Amino acid sequence: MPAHSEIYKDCTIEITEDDQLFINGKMIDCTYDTAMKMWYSSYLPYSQYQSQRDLAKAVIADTEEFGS
Amino acid sequence: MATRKDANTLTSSERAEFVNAVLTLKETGIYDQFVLRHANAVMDAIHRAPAFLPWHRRFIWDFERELQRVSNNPDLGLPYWNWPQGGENASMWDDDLLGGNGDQFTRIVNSGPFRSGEWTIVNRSGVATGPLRRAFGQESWAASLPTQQEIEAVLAVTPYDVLPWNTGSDPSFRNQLEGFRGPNLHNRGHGWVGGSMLPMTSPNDPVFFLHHCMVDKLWHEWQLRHPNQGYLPMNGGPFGQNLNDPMDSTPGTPLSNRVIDVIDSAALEIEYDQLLPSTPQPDVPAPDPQQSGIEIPPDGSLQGGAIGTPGEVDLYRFTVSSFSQYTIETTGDSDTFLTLYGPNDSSREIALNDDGGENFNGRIAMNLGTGTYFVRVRLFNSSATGDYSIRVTPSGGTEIPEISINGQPVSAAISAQNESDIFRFHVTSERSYTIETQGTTDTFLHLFGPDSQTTEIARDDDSGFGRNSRIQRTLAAGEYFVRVRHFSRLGTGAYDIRVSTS
Repeated sequence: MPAHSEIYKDCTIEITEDDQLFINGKMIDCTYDTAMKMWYSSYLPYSQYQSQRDLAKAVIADTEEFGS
Repeated sequence: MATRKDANTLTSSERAEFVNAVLTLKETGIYDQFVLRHANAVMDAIHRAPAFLPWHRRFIWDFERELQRVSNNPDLGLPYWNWPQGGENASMWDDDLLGGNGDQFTRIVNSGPFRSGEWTIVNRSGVATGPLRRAFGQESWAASLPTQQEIEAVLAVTPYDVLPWNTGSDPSFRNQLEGFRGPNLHNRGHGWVGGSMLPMTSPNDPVFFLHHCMVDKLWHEWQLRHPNQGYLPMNGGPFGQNLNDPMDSTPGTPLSNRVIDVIDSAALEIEYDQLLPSTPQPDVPAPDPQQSGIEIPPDGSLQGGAIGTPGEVDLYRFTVSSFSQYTIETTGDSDTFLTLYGPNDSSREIALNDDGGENFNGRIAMNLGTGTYFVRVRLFNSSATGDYSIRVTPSGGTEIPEISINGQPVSAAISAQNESDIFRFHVTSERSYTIETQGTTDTFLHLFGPDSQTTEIARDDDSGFGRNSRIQRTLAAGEYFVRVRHFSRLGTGAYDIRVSTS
C-alpha cells in the first residue's frame, strides 16, 4: 500500500513509505539532495523539487516518457 | 580553424549551412545518437559534478565535427547562445535558424526548420515520440535569462571546484556555472526554453548545442582569466571526475576520453569570435614569422638551452629534407612543454607535448614531410626557470613505402594526432591514374610530383567511398608522392591505400 497515491494528467503517482516513486507502475529514480534539501531525478537533471509529489508531476509534464 | 560565433550574428548563408547540416545529421540518424548518448549517460557523472564541463565540451566538439563532415566545411563552427542578447526577440529565434517559441497551449514549435511535421524528438530508447516543444520563460525558476552582470560574477569565482564535488560545492566555479549555487546560469537556460529542453533528452532541441557552446565559451574565458587555476579534482574524487579519469559514455576516438584530453581549448582547435572585455587573449602568441629561431640540425645532437626568466619561451627551427619520422625532445631536470609548428609556417601548430619524454620532459615523435619546422620550448610552470637540452632525431629510416600500381592495397594508420603518412609510386607511361583510400577513417590526400615531394598537384577529402579520399588524374612518367592525413588534425585511424590505372 503506497503512502501516497494520486492521478495527475492521466498518470498514476505512487510514493511508498520508503520514498520509492512510481509513475504508472514504473519506478522513477529520485534522490534527496542533502546540499540543496530538495528532490531530483535523472529524468530532469536541471531542476529540483520541494517534494516527491512535485517531482513526479514535473516528470509527467516534462519528459517524453509521460508527457503529452 | 572553425570559429564559434554568436548565433545572432550569423549571416543568412551561415544559418542555412548550419540548419542544413543539422537536418542532414537528423536524416542519417546521427543526431539522435547524440540525444541518446546524453540521455543514457549516468546523470550524476555528467551533471552536478566536476566533469560537467569537460564532458559537455567533448560532447559538443564531437557534434561540431559531425556538422563539419556533412557540410564538407572544416571551418564550420558551432554557434553559441549569447544569453544576455538571446531572449525571445533575438534573431537566433528567427525562422531561418532555430524557429521561435512553442504554442502557448500545446508548447509545440510550429515555425522554423525544427517545427512540427519536420522534426521529431525521441525518448531515451530512441523511439520517436512527437514534436519539439518550447515554452519560453514559463518555469518559475527560469523566468529570465542570465545577465551580463551575473556572468561576470560567476567568472570571478575560484577555484574550479571543491569537495564534496557535487551540488553542495562552494565556492566552485563549476557549480556556479552549472547553476546549483549563485545566480544559476546553465540550468536556467534549459529552464527558460522549457519543453523539450527540460529532461535528459534535452539535445532533442538543437538549441541545446548552442546553449552548451555558450557554457563552454564561459569555461574557456574562465581558464584565460585564471591561468593558475586548474581543473579539480586531480585525484581523490569520485571515479570519472578526476583529471585523468575516463569520462562516462564518451568514445575513445578520435581522441582519448579523459577529462585531461579536453582541458586545453586550443588543442581542440576551439576558437570564439570574441571574448568578453575583461578576458585576456589566449596564451602566448605564435612565433613571429620574422623570427626564425635558433637552428638545430636534425641529426640527434644535443643543443643546450635555458629558461632564464619566468615565462620565457625559446624558439628553435630545423629543416627536413626528406620524409621520415622525427623525435623532438628535451632532456634534463626541467619540466618542459613543447609546441611544434610547420611545415614552413611558424604559426601553424601541429603538435604539443608536456611529459612524453624522460622525467618531465616534453617529447614529440611523428612523421614529418619536407620543410622547415619550429619548436617552442617553455616550462610547464610559468613561474619557474631552468636548464634543458633539446635535440631532433630522425628515426625509422628514410625509406618511403612504395605502392605498386594495380597491386594490393597498402595497409597503414594515422596513429597520432597531426600525423601524416607518405607513400610513393612510380609512373612509367602517361595515362589516367586513381589514388584512393579505403576503410572507415576520414582521410585527406595530398599528391606531389612528378619527382618532387614539395610540388603539390592535387588534394582531396571525400571523393572516395564514404569518408575516403580519391584523386583521379592523368600523370606523366615520374615518381609521385602521396601524403595521407586524417581530416581532423586530432583524428587517428587505420586505412588502406592503393593506386590503379583508371
